Amino acid sequence: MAQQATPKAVPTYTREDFQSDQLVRWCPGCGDYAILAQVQRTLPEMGVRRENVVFVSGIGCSSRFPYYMNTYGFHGIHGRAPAIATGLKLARPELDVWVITGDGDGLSIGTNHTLQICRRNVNVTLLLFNNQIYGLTKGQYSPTSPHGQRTYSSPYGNLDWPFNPIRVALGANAAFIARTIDRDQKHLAEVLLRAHEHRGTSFVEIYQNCIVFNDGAFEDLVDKATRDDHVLYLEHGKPMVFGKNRDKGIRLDGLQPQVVSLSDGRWSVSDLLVHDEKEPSGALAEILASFQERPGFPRPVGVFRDIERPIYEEEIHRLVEQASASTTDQDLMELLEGGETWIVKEEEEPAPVQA
Amino acid sequence: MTPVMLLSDGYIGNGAEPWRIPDLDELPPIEVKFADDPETFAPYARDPETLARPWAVPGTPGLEHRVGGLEKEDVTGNISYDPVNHEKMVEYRRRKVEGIAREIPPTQVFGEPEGELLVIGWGSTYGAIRTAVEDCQADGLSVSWVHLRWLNPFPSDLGEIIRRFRKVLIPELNSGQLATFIRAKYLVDAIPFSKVQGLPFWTHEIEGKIRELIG
Repeated sequence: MAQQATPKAVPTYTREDFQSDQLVRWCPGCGDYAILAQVQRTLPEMGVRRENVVFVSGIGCSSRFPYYMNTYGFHGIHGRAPAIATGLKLARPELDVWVITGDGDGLSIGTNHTLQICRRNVNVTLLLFNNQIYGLTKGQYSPTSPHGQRTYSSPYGNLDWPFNPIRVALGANAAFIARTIDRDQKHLAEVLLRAHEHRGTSFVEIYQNCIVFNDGAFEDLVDKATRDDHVLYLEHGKPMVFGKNRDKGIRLDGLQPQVVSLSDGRWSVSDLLVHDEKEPSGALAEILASFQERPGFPRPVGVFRDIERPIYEEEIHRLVEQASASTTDQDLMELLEGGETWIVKEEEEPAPVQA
Repeated sequence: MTPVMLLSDGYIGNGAEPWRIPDLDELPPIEVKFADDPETFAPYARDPETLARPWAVPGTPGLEHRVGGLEKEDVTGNISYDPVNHEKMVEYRRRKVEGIAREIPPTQVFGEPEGELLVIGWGSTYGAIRTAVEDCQADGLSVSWVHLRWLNPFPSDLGEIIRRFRKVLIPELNSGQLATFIRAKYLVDAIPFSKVQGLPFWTHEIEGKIRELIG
């Protein structure tokens, strides 16, 4: 999300400039700390004036985020941060607006708003912290909790089938879709910079560990011993290779992806699927999103999709300008009196002046 | 920064009647003074009269702050878990809304300022109540009528008006919510008169009730 031209030069900021003086109240060891730290570290690199930055959130653990940023902030209405952010961008397109939400806020009560902002393509950066559990309300299953998971509200196993957030965003034709992980700080920083740079709604799913109610949900993806075999780092234009020894890859057999070995002589790197963030239909991103439902497949992280679409607030302002330019009669009073109106004089019966 | 709820109903939505278009030049301008001084700005400071907080909009350097649903400390706007502070803030918000009564013009009483019966109405029952009261007044009955345009806060002179009548009748198209509030607020034995049939009141229904009470 590129900042629009500002007349004044942007001061040189440090991480501390974006830290508020409020005591951070997440559980010790929560993944949210890592995300907060990385947002505060990367904002100075984004070329925006601090007073133009606004963080809008809904309700939940993640939604306390704005209090800890030394920027403008609005801890808003449950699930409605995208609606507030859309209004803000329409009124003040020059602002740098971030939406902070979670799997509960953004994918249950606020699912509709998440979809609407993505399909409209409002120029905001949306971070969805996904810990696959309701943390603030103490451990009930969320819309992204795996099927069968035992939680305090599903003691015999979760009957619901989880949302796949990447697929949800794709379904709404989000122009920028990415996934990253709280503990992978370098990757997180890269994805934040990419998401902010993109113009339009940038949807970022961040796997975030809830140490109290869902600890270890993403352990395979962050543990040094296992992560290389479980994570596929997406790189634009590069063949999809993964594995500790870089000896596995993804190839496509018709519409079906396959995990293939690069060490048994049957397949080589040139047979592999090559990542293309710009693939316009979303079909490639859809295949990648499906990996989490396919046993034995690595979990893709990085940018799934980065395409250009018209920016909603720019279109609105263009429309208003066009309509204003083509209208000569702009007297509001004349407009109000233009329909079926009468003039009522004292002590007289109403007489129609226009019908 | 006080939320306003405008109550409408199906009768207003479906009805049609002449409506006076205001002269735009006569409407007072809505002027907002945004905060812009980092030296004096405190996000949860309050105007001593209205108890409204200052308003600093994004883009104003040095005034970065956060608003939201967690309780804030008075003046600073820091998140606060202090029970006494919470009570103070709840009281501020209550008094802020109550203070709006200062802006409400004196209540107009349709009919004599005192008497046997006061009818209190609100919303789209206006026409039916007015005709019923006019008919009864023409027959010499001691009935007057107030049509409320503000329900929260109530006009500050309402209690005094109510006390000048021996009986109070409250016709409304619900289960008697306004009557409940009037009874609670003014300790008056107001008589509810409800209709919940998806239809407006007929004049004769209200007139019948008035005559039953003081006829």
